[in-house]
Amino acid sequence: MAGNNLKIIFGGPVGAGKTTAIHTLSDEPPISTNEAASDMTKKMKKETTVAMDYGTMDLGGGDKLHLYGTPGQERFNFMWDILTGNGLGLILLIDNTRKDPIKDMAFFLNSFKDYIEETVVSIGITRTDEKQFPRISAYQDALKQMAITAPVFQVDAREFSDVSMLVQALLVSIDPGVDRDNG
Amino acid sequence: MKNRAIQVSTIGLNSRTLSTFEFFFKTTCKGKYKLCQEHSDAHITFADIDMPGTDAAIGDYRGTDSDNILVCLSLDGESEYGSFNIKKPINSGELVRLLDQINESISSVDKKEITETPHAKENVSDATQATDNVKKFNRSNTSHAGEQLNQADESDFVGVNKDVDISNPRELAYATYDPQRMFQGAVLEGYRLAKDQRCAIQVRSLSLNVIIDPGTFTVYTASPDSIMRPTCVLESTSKPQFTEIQAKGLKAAVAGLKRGKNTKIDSHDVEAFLWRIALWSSRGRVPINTDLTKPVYLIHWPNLTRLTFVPHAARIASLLVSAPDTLCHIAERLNVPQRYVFGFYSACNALDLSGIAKRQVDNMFEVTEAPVSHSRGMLRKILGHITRRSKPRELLNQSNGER
Repeated sequence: MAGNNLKIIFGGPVGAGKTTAIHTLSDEPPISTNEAASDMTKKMKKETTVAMDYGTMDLGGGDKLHLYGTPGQERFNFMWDILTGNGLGLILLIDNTRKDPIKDMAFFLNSFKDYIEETVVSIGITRTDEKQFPRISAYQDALKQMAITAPVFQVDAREFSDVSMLVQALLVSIDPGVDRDNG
Repeated sequence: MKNRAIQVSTIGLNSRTLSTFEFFFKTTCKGKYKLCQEHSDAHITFADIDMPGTDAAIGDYRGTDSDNILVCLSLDGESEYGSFNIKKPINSGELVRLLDQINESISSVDKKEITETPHAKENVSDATQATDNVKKFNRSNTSHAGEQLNQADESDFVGVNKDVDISNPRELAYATYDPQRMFQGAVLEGYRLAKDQRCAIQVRSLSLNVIIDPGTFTVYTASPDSIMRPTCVLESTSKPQFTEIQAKGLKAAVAGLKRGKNTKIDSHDVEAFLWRIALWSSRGRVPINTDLTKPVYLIHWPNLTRLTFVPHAARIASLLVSAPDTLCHIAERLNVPQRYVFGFYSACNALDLSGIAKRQVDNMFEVTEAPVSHSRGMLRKILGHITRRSKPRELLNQSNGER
């Protein structure tokens, strides 16, 4: 009998750490469709994701959690709708060193509006060690203006404990009663 | 030595650099090298000699008679320590070659047993002052953040109180504490003053001495956790002292916190510091003015990845942020001891994130039970999977013996 399959989507601008976060969580080496960046993205990173990143968590008994990263570049946003179908929720990563990261957050929350209304979102702010401001409270203030309640955490996409906390927050936002399976 | 990792300890590397090395060792070096906490477990020690304070830390490290191979990282690629040198920015090929060269020499003399996993030391009480200083130097400002707790640590932060019957006034007394009469109250007052005056404030209370800089959201202290933690549960009969420090005098004032040659000044993010102080002070209790029969609110999720871990914090936050509820009812709904919920509330209260819901609308509706997802079984499996994978880090934190 086929196992259960669930999906978490990672979204956010170029260079926010989506590929790294999936790499950090995935049990198997993730599949990445990175390509040499050819436009202004090149200023930010040498390679960028043009279709998607994909990783998995093997939960045992044939059950799997699929991790999909959406391409950061807006011209590939047709992929976003394809990837979000039947997902558990969205993990949105925002790069704090970008010019206006709060505007980035608003843009992506608006882009994924329909998806978020049906599911949940958890937000990770990356590269806060390089740029201290805006503080997390500023992101929470912006969310309040947008009438959105969501966990917002400082994260280092390379740190398992940070990315794991984003996933935990997503899961308990869906069902606060869920406790860990000790089996 | 196949499949066994060479242990690498560090001096003066921040958390981001440590993460980069961890990633580099795991991927590029295919797990041949691994970071460890203790110099005594390590074969190689990396020291960033451009970092202020590294000289003293290397002096302490040498005082431990360590026979590790010292690799100095510096901008000019030279050092006075007669060791291997690597110039920054680090060329990965050059680093791999150097590590492989060291690896060969270690393997040939087999001078220490090379282990598969870092040696988790449960008891560090007999560690020397020198190694303590080196260890402290290695910790980043946010090294407490989001950490997992072992059982001994857990009682420091959330106490050991049993659940109370809120209809019994005698039992209620055990569930409350008075932050105003403790170090926590002094720090909160100092932070309020600092924000109002827009300048750093030095706070002296109960023999503890901290400087709060609201401009950088930083708290400086020379008091180690081993002194601060037990002091936080004491009540003071004397008033705390507050001194304003202007920007030009801040550096000297921070240096003045040092009480001796070996004292190390730590800096903390102000929110992480307030959260930790509140947990140490409350030990699973609520501030004395908290009416446990009334619902409480949570304005938004705390930044859990950078705050000391409280068991079930994410679940408690998820419920409280969705609608005000009484703390006892939250504990009941989640089937967790009240002390976790009380401690979480007290820490959030110290950050002004939570309080008693006073708006009429908050009491108009009965709290509805949280939704039960049809995927709960799968969600539980995912949670179990990531929690189990977190365990090596949990062990690592336990081995710090950080108290």
